[in-house]
Amino acid sequence: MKRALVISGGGSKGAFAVGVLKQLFHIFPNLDFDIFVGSSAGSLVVSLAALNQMDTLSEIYSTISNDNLFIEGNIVDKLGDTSLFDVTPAWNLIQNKYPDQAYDQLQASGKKVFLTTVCLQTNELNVFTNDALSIKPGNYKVVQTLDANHYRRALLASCCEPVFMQPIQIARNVAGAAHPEYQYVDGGVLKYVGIEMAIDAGATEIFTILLSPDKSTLVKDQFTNLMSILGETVDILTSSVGKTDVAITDQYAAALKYIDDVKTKMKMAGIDENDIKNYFTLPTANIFQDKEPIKIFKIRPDDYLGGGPGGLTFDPSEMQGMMAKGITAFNQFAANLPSGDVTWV
Amino acid sequence: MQIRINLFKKMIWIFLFCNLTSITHAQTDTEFPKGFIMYGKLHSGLVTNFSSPDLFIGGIQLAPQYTVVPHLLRIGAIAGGFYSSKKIQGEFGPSVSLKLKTFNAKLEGATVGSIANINLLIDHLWGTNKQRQIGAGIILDTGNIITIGITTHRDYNLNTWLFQSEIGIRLTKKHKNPVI
Repeated sequence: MKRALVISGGGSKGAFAVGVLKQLFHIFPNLDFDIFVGSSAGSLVVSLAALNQMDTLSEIYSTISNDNLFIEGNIVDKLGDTSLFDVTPAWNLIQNKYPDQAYDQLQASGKKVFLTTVCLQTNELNVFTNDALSIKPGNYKVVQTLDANHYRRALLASCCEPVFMQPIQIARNVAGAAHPEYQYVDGGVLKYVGIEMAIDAGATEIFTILLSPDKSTLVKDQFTNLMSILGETVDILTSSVGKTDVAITDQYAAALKYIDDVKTKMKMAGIDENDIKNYFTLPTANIFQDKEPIKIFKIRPDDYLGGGPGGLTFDPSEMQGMMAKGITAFNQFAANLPSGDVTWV
Repeated sequence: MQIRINLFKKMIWIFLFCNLTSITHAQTDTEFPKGFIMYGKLHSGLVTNFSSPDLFIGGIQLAPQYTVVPHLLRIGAIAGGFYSSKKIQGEFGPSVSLKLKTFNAKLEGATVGSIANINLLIDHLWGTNKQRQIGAGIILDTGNIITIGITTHRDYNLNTWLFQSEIGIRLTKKHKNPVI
């Protein structure tokens, strides 16, 4: 049985995920993950969580501010440039917090990390991983990271929200990497949360941390001008991308459970196990064949976390509050966890 | 589906650009960044001593400056030529720009950079016809590209006042994001 940790995008709201993980490892010290999937801010969190560097994550998400991540400028001056912000400080931070030894440690651990990005040239979802052989990709491309620098560049690209942060040439100056000219941005553009990658990598128990609430926030004010209506419409469309990601994987997990329940019923009716297997084996490839039932645990905030548009406001005190909310959210999750679901104690 | 995606893209762009141009007061200052900047300026106005008829003045200037206190102070020089009293003359001297106010751009309440600044320009100019002018002006710098302003100078040698307006354009290359 493989267990995965999947974290969505959300910029500064990644602090909530850090709070969840701190409490998760505190309450369940034996809980370990084989697979890590991150989109955007989730990529940074899973990269360090895979190395058990929770102290580093806590430090980052309780002290960092916008100035430590990007250089803002005059936006009129930036028209014609690749982005409104320059992410050089974020690149320096990643190089500092994820040195070559960290990548070596990851490779030695046998853990698999998947970072989602979108290639601007091909418009494809590209998933960079330290172990490309461990996944059977679906509707996306898997790219093997060749060294620590390649991994760090993929990590930075995964965090770079287009328009705000410049696209990253992940293969630039990486020996042996194809298409050094290709530019990559935040995988959250196409994939809010990479549960699909965890399933494709063989995970059957998936812990998913989502950085936005399930319910829509009730807006009591009337929308009386074009901009407020347009802004709300963009919010609705954007959140629907995330809801669709989650809904599709929920349906897939439900379908696998249904198939498993039917198989169990057939077995109880006295049908031979080999015959059952034959009934469910079709000559054409399908996404359910030979798949085990999947358990997906979801942990998410009850309400909007803040952090500004796209989570681009990194305010240490606000992020500390988000971390506290993550701890509370995990406590609630653990309290409501059916004992039969706990396989790791 | 494709129509929906295209509509979505258009809406995002309209939303971003309309919001980015909403001007609000500064929180994080991005104006007067560290480094060198040079404007080319056209100026025109009048020269008066409040008794004899006023004279037209108009000219062109180069105004290089360097930021010595980021987000606050630039020092530099002005060199130019101008037409007045039916003669083409020259002028040069030091200048100081003090940033007074930054106008930030906001998106859904969060600052995403700046859009303009207002600065106080103080200079002293020596002219080729015994002019000795000290003056100041209020300049609006939009996008670190275009400036417009009004200036007043006192010529303490020729006992005249100069009231002018000016428009400038940045001549130095823009700082581009590095390719990573």
